Amino acid sequence: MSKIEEVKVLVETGKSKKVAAAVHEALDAGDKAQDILDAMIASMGVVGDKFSSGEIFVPEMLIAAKAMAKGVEVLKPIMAGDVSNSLGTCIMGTVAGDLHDIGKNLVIMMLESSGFDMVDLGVDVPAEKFVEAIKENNNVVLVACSGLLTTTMPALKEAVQTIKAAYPDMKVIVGGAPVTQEYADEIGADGYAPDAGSSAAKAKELIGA
Amino acid sequence: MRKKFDPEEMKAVGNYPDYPTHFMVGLPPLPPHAKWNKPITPKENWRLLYEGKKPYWIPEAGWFNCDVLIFRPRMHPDNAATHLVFDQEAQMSYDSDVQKGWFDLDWEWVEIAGGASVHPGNPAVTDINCWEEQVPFPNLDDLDWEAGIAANKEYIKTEKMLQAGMLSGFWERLMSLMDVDKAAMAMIDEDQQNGVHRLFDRLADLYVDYVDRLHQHFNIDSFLIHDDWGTQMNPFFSLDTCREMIVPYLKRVTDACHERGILFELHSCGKGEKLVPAMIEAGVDLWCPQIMNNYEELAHTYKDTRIIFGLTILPPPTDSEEEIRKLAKDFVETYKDCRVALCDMGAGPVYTAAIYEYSRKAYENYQD
Repeated sequence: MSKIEEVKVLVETGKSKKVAAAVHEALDAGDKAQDILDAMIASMGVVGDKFSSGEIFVPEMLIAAKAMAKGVEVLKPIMAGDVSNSLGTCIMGTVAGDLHDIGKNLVIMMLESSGFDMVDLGVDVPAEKFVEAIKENNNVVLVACSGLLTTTMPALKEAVQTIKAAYPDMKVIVGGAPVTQEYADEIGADGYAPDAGSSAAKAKELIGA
Repeated sequence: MRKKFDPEEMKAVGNYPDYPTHFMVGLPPLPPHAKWNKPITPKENWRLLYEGKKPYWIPEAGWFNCDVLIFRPRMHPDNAATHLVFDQEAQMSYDSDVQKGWFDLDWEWVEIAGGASVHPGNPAVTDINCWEEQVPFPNLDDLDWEAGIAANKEYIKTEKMLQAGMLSGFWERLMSLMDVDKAAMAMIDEDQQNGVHRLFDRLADLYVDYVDRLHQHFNIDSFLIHDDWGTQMNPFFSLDTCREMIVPYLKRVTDACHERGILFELHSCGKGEKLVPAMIEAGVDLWCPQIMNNYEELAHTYKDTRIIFGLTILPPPTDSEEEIRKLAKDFVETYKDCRVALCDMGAGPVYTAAIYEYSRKAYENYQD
């Protein structure tokens, strides 16, 4: 197995303690940092698919994302300044009145792993705060709004419509247990992901990456 | 030989006692719950099902106006902190949305959600291997048992199944202490699992002691803990993880219940059907799965095991009386040979009456 293949397997299986060393070994073996990063991104794609299909579960997905983060730490100093690696900034938060954060955190990990720079606004985020965050951050290409409760679905609608009123061209993706494609269409969101595993592919599709 | 069904059984002979604590934020006030002239009490009916016999009718699980009387006395700090107090006293009033519960956790009430949770982002336990140094462990002697006993003397004299409920189970407790993502990772990270095992071991002791005291002081028929094991689409964790990390500890709690003749209900939201084998191994008697689970498959696959499924099969509000009765008849036909209850989340009087009538007839020839 090549060193880069080893890195992929370690990320997929969430061996966070071994990934950094494997990335170093891959670099020493002559693999390019970009290729190693692409391999890890591909691994997280596999992890996302397995999560969507119910083959793995929340802990395994989180552990894989943590392992990838360890690998990225090694690559960061080498790739510093190479803006071509970033797909742009994504603002994410759980909407007002909703304190649930696991769905949001999973999506943040998946999007980060696929090349977005993530800004986490946390939970119980008022609609206006999404707009402020777009203003305050550079190169924002996507806003992701999460909501778990049926009672906070109106807050999801308000968030999407407030963002769209301020930034009509901004792409907005929504998700959460009670949300459906139909509801996403109804409230004017550009995209919907049924689970964290499929969120990265949808996010990339929305920005044309 | 059982008494044959007689329509006179469905005549009201009074109302069950009503209590000011019996309400849910956002839901309309409940009508009085009529007491019928049934051949046995709801408590006795549940007991038959628990013991593996056919009940006289398919019982109604749920929160209010059903065959269960939920009991969450305010002496337990988590009940008070999470606004889940159901007892004989007046409604509780709160001077703040944030209240302290066990482990010194701050529970934040969110009106729009009608529930409370620990605000994520600043977990009380930052290293599960050192949890003993980071949070105080609850002491049951700190609860005001004398006041709780004195205040609920009439409440516990019920013909319904008296069910004491408690937040939180093992997984939910870990989530409340660590935040969800860190708790999830701790469940499978070999560097953290020892800390989780130590916490769950202490929790099992605590919960067993709580069950014992509830049994002694209130003579409960059922004990429920909340432990949401599922997401909208799948379990939070695998069956293997559940078996390794939760089942041994939950089994100690259910064993304690069964030794005292107490039915154990696991309140677990989400699509948890893949974890039913773990529930059975852990000794769970009753689970009311949410509607994203496959009811028919569950009920028929596990009909020869101990677990009872409380099914939320409800008529659409637009249905006519005839349609509602047809749905009730189909429910009974489909599930009469399984171990099921109706999970009554607003079923309405026509439907519950029809479920009673059809299931009573289905079981009237059963030999006790």
